[in-house]
Amino acid sequence: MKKCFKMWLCSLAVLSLFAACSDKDDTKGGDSNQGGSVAGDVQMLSFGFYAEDNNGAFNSNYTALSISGNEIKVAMPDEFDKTNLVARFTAADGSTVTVNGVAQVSGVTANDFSIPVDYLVTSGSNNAMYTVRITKMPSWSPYSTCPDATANDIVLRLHPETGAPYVAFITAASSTDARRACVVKCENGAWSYVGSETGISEGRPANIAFNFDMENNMYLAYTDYAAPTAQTMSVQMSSGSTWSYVGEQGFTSTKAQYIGLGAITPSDVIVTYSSSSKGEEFYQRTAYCSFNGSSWSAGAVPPGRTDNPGWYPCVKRYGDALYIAVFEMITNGAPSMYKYQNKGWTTLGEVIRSADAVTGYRSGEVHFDLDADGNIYMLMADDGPAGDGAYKVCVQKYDAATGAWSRMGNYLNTGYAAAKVPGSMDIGVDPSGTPVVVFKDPNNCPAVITFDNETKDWSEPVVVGGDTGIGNVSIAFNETEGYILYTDTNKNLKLCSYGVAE
Amino acid sequence: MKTRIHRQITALCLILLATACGKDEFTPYDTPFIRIMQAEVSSVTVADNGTVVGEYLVALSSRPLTAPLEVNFRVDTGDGLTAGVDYEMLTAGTKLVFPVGVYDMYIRVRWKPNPIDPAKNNTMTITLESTSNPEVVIGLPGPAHNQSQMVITKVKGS
Repeated sequence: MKKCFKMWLCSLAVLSLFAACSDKDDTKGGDSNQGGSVAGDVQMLSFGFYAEDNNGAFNSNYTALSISGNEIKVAMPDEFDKTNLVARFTAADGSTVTVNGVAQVSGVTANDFSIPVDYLVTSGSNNAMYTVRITKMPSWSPYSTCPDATANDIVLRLHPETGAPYVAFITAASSTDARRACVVKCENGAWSYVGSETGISEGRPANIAFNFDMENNMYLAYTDYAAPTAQTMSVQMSSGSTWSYVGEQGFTSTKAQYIGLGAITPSDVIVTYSSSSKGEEFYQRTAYCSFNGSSWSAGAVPPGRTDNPGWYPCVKRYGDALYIAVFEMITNGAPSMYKYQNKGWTTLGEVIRSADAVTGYRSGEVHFDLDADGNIYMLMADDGPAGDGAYKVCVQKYDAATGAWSRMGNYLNTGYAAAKVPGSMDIGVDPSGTPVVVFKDPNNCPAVITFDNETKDWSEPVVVGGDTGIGNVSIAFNETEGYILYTDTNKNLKLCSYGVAE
Repeated sequence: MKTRIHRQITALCLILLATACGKDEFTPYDTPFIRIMQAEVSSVTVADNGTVVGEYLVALSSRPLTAPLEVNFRVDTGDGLTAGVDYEMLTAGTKLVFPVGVYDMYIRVRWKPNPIDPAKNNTMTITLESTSNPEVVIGLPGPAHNQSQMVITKVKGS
């Protein structure tokens, strides 16, 4: 009996081994939507508008920028009439192509492309639908690559007088101790160092900030590991080639991180920072110091600012005023913004987010730009309208006339899944007063979204530059030009330029 | 010695039995559903001073179907919106037909520049009502049926 029982137990145990779960899932669950990806025999292979097919309506050929999934985009100048265009296309052998049930003949059939047109490619019982959209011509083109530098952190500013792009960066040496803060400029496409190629900082830097004052002097601030007290802040200034310390090297009373810098004149310079050491003054909070031409003041909370933990400052100068943005590291935090002018502080808004949002997203430096009327366009992300933590990118606009903040248009379609925010993004206002957002898209390409003055909302993203695997992106405009800066997959600095019609 | 070996074998067998996989412990979710949204958002605004073609994506999530899927929808507008003045429906009728193999289709509205009266209801609501396949759930899975409706509000333009 005992023997029998044991035999039975052994047999059962062995059987259970062979009855183990199978990974094979013979009932597909969830979303098996092909999302527009095509089967082998229902594919649109090429698409475009050719001068030859369109009776002299235009002189050039315009072919698809991309056929991605079920989306086809063709860029064409605004001035062309798009209500009666003949498309030339090729589809998979043996397939038929229709639009709203009407058979399409490549190079012959005309459609109204002032609105998107859906092309259905059919083979047997299988179908794929392609939506063709005519987009605006890209305004950005590759400009120049810095041949000598590799960079991690980058800050782009345009020289106030010449408009040339200047880039402050930390060198991308593999050893952190070998990294240095440097500045390069690009004039007429040619790059050169401002100061030493081996570095402006004496030792390893972190958290750089860079700006010009009203007299065209440039300032570089950084966490200085070579300072007498390591990791305090140092600031250096240059009027063109050589750099010198502003005040003492390592002048902050505490270690400094999350650094911002702005200068009006050499006797009116401010920095913002947080302390990185628990127990130190201004630990994780936002403090500022000011330089009066001879010495730095002690750190203090900016007047009028609620003394919250604050990180990720961004400082920019417009005329004789500095604008300072910082992210409030509190529950349901969001950016705040201040103005520094005539050595006084004004609070422009605190914890700024969409009216229907609960929380802003801590995405790093708070980016913003101003137009000629003093209106502010601040790039951020929040979880409106559901307030459920599903963050989306948006632009908050400050109306200089009313002092009110409101979300400008809808949320931007960055192509990221819900609650995902680009790892790097920036905003600039072009000479026509139009805000332009640049960001690293889901394919790690630099992409641009512009506020469309026709629709009064944000455009679809357009990839610029032709690179993938990029690092950080930045954008800046002056009266006639704009530049996008990013680091490519090799951490080289790359510029794209923007042309504005006169 | 023999007793010890027998005990070990018995223990081993019991362990194997206890750890045997349950083939049917996890039932994969396999219910098809259809939803409407714009860039994963169910509520958007359009500026009253802009000219824009609004595209609202109706997305089908399903294993490949064997027959075209008809999707019926309804458009409701508030008293602040007038057809032909504030907007024009570019998608004709109230039905989309998804051919086999197609999972995304758009309902399109051309929004026209016309100042709104903020005191009025300036919303358009597009509601997915039914499909020709009773297995297809309207909206995202779950009791709230999120993304079964798209709400577009015309607002003062900036």
